[in-house]
Amino acid sequence: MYQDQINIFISTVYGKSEATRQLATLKSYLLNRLFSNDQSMLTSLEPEQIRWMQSLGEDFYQGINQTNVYQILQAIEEHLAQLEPLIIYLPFVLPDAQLPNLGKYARNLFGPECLVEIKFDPDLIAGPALVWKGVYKDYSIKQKLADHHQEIMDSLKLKLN
Amino acid sequence: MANTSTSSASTAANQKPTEVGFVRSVKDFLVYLDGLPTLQINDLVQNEAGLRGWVTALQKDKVEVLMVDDGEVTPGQMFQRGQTNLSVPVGPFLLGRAVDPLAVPIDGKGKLAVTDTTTLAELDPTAKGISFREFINHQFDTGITLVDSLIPVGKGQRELVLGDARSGKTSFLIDIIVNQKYTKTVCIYALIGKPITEVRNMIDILHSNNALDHTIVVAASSTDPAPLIFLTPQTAFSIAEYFQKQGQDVLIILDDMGNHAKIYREISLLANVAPGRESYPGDIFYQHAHLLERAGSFNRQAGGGSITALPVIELNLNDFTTLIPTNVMAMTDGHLLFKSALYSQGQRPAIDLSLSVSRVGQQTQTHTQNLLATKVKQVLAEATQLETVSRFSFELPFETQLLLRQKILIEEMIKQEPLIYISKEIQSILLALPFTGMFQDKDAEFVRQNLRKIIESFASDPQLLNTTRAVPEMKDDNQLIALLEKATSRLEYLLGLTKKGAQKA
Repeated sequence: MYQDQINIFISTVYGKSEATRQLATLKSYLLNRLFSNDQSMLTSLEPEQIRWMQSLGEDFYQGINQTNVYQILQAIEEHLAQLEPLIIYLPFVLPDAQLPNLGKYARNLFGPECLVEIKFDPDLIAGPALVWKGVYKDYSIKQKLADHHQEIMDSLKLKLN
Repeated sequence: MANTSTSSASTAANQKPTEVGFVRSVKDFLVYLDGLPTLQINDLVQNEAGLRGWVTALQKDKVEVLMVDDGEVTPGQMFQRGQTNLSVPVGPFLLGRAVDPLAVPIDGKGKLAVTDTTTLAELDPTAKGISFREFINHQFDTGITLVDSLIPVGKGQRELVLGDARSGKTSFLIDIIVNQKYTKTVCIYALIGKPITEVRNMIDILHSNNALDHTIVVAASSTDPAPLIFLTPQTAFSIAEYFQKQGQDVLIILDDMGNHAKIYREISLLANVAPGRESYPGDIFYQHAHLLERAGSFNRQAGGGSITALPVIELNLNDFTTLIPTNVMAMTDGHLLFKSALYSQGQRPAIDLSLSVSRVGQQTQTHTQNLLATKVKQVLAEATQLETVSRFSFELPFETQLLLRQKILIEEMIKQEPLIYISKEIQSILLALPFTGMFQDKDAEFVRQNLRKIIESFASDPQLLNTTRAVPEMKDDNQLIALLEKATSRLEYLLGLTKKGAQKA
């Protein structure tokens, strides 16, 4: 049911929190357009948000009317809730502009519906840690140091002696 | 660059994958997590701050976890699957120690001597089946005349101890633990949700009476998190099972199961489990039965040994008809009912004999003990009936007077000061003495003044000691009374009632 709209929506967002945020924007836009047609609402939107809504395309908006808008929004919301995100821990704050690149890369690896969730963890030093389907994998320097703790300590002791 | 990424990928591939989950919602100590795909019930999870949680339910899209450590848990926090499931290290190093339900010492005596080879005992295993159990045919020696003679407890029996507040339950339990130094029984005292001062006090009392050497205290005070309090009896049983598997006899005291039920009610209500009678969840009977089923007398295949369980319940206004006391009564093999009214009348232990029962203990007694107990109970019952009639009559027949006197004497004989161990032979002697000629003209005051001396005489006087040693050989109660008749002249002499007769005994 409403699979076309769901697919279009998912293809335009890459982050889980981004998807939730954009869905809220879409909801207020659609309800305004279909039930109130208040132009001031559009002016209050950020250019980024307007661009994103335009990127959904005419096909997305064509099938939406006053009778099915709530069902479509609910279907998207339920589908989003079912998607388990790929959580990426990074030791730096990822610029928003980089999220689509990372998202596309993740989709190539994990499938077309993969959403990423970025978390900031400076303790990692460098390199990421990932959580996919409840399994945690740490590729960071922090983990490498922990794995080779004894060897590092031994070589340091050797140097100091 | 390519090399680096390949190498880091291979390192990560070699790593044991860590399962993680994220907090979806928090309700006090109850946390719901998502993720953790292969988690099982009773596994442990831990967050980055080291706070541990115990997995209690697996739902379709979330995991229910009860936090056993105090600390802040917020939505979005990551939890990792723990290295072990819910288990505690067990071994002889626990003797003389006081630990919390996760085996963390609380007595200030330092860490437990746990090594890599220390056995880890699961907290909630299924109780052993009937093929591992033996008929209960050995008496559990409490050293208390009233219990050992009239409401005997067998090794492996479950006997509920219930009564009002301030009716002497705790001092009775302490007496039993202290007396176990003569029987080499390992004692485990589980204090469930008691005030921290009471826990400390209990450890000190056991220490000052040299009872801590054969005792382990497992305690979660009322200030501990509810899930930790809930786990107290489970831990106590896991420790008990370790010693039982070594072939030892173990006594486990669960003080008290009323608190345990209240804690389970709190957890269940928080988890939105539908409340039933008195707001307890529907599975409260299962929880307690499942726990007490772990007690018993076990055969060699299961390591031999036995676990005797004394669950305790404090009553409100002596009402034992509420849900939890009746539930626990139904799943135990008898109960000892303590009454504060009897306690204030000076009866120690303040057990109401007419309302107490042991469904298994009698089969562990000798034939003579059995006959004597029946005789004593008969006298007490008949005399109680006649007591009412005697109030309206000026002159009573000799038989009635004798019966009433015997009742008074028996009641005095079974009164026992705290921290006194009375062997089974002397217990039989004390109960048989009121039926001898010597006591036909004695009153309660005489017994009160001389009881200690009588016990000492039969335990240490060389001539009376022969009588004491002959008690187990008696074939019935009449033979025992006849044996005592012969010893009364010596007893009278020792009590200073006569100056002759010492040599005759």
